[in-house]
Amino acid sequence: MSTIPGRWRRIAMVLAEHASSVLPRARLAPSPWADAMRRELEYIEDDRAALRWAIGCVATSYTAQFVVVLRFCGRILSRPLLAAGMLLSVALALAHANDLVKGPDCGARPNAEPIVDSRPAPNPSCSGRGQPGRFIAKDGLPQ
Amino acid sequence: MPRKPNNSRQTRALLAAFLDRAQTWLHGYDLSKETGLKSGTLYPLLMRLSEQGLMESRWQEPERPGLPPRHIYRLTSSGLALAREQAREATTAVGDASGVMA
Repeated sequence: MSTIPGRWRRIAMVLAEHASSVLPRARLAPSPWADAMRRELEYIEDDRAALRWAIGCVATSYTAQFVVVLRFCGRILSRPLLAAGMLLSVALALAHANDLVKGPDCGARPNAEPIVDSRPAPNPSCSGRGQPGRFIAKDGLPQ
Repeated sequence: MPRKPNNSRQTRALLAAFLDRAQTWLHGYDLSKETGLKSGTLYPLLMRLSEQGLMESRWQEPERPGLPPRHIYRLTSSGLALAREQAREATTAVGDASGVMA
């Protein structure tokens, strides 16, 4: 390895440095993984291989960071969702219990008006078999 | 059916590489070359195996002056047991497949 780093090597070093700073927990305490990835770069002799390695390190760090953010959001969002779900369950249970106390009505509607088909029958001779309908005369007045 | 942990193709390749040299401490770049895994895949796997207690790591003093200490890895006893189990399953699966082909 030459003492003066080439262009690819310099880019790789910058990327590896960035990766080690992005890796979660690296800001709070030195992460052995961040150092491990960065220092391994010194042992890769080929500059382009070093660059590929550094790009992978950046991907690792951002993926780890993304997972941490997802977990944090999950913790924040899960409590309201859990509370809403519990409230909905209680409301459904109360509604069901209310129905049980009243007893089943089997769909009966004692005060409901009878349903009358108000559509004109296509043939007047057929109108006698069902409920009486309203017929519209040719002049437009109901009979 | 829940997915079996540590059963991805990449994890199995990594465990197989460790199993080939069970008692040897290995470097990250060597593991990458051996398994064909990129660093972006390799390090998350190493971190996960370490968190699960399947792998241990330590710093190795540099062999040449001017180089930084290097992180090295090897499987723990439970990691070795898992690697052996996966190798046995793979062998059985290959045996079954060749039996079907014959």
